[in-house]
Amino acid sequence: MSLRRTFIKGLWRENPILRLAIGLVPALGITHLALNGVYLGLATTIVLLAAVLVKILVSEFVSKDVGVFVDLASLTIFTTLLYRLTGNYQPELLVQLGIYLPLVAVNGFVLQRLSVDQPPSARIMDALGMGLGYTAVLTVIGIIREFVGLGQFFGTAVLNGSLTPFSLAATVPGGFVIVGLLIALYNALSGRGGEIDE
Amino acid sequence: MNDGLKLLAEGVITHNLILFQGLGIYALLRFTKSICTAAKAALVMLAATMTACALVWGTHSLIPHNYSMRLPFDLLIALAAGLFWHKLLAPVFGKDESVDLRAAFFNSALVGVLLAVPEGLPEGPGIFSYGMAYAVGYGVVLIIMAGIRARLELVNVPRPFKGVPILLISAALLALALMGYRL
Repeated sequence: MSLRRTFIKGLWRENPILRLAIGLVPALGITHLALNGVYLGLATTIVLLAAVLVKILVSEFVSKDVGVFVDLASLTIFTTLLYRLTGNYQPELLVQLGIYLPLVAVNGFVLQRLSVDQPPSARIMDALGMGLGYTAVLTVIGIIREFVGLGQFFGTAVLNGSLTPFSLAATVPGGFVIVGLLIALYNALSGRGGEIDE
Repeated sequence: MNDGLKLLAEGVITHNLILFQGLGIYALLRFTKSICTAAKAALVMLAATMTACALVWGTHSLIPHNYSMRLPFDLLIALAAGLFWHKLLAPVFGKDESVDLRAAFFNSALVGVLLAVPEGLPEGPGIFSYGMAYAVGYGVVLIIMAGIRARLELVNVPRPFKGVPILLISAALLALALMGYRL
């Protein structure tokens, strides 16, 4: 597969949330605000990319079994660094994200992408494409939930009393419904459905 | 006694890990193919959580109070608890068991429970009630969802909704049913 196709597949054909249904925790837990979706998606992409670079650098020197621990160590280090940086520059955002930012270290999507065996250049493009696809879907979910649940668009009130927001959409159960409907829409558009990939 | 019951009600109903915090969704989608699989995943989570809580209790004086520095310790504890039970239970569950033990042990729900431990709790035995309440809540939801999923197999669901979408929407309905207790 060419590098371009490796990059593009994460945006739609093998999107982590819509197609693979992995890394759904932030999609349900924290995307009641679109900004949270953007930030957490980008944070996950940065951590994944950094962990992939470490994996490429050390893969020649460590066995596969030890490599798992190296992955977990690098994920922990990069997530902690990101957590501290966010705390220094965006303390309010850090409070909003709560435990979901530290949980990037055990995000199923990140762990799954690190376990895929590919050449180094393909690994980087895969991490970039998948990360951006993940960020895009988290953002879309955030925009829908924020608009329906709070009547806002990136923190700006847009309904101005013309419609009462449906606050359930901003809760986790509302997130279940919206993510479920989005995946159903994706299935309808791509002509699939019925299976959960392992 | 009352505190214990209150904590159990929180873990199972009002602050359920899966339904109200969105944690452990991997398990919700992958380990609910049968009630037996869900029960095993629930047992695994309970064992790993109790072990992790024991480790937190035993090492609380060594763990930094600074939240940003706690993450490596919590991950290490979750990993140690997970690996311990993985070694112990893998031969019992068998090789072709549909529960992927590594994923069951090292998941967002377990780490989430550790990250959200209230301040001061690790210093006493309250940490065990806390861990058990949330792990029981996680297991109860997995088993209920496995039952719902078995019933859904018999229903003619529109093709795009089959699989993940209908499961997520069913989980939302279950959450809504329990949401009344939060008000």
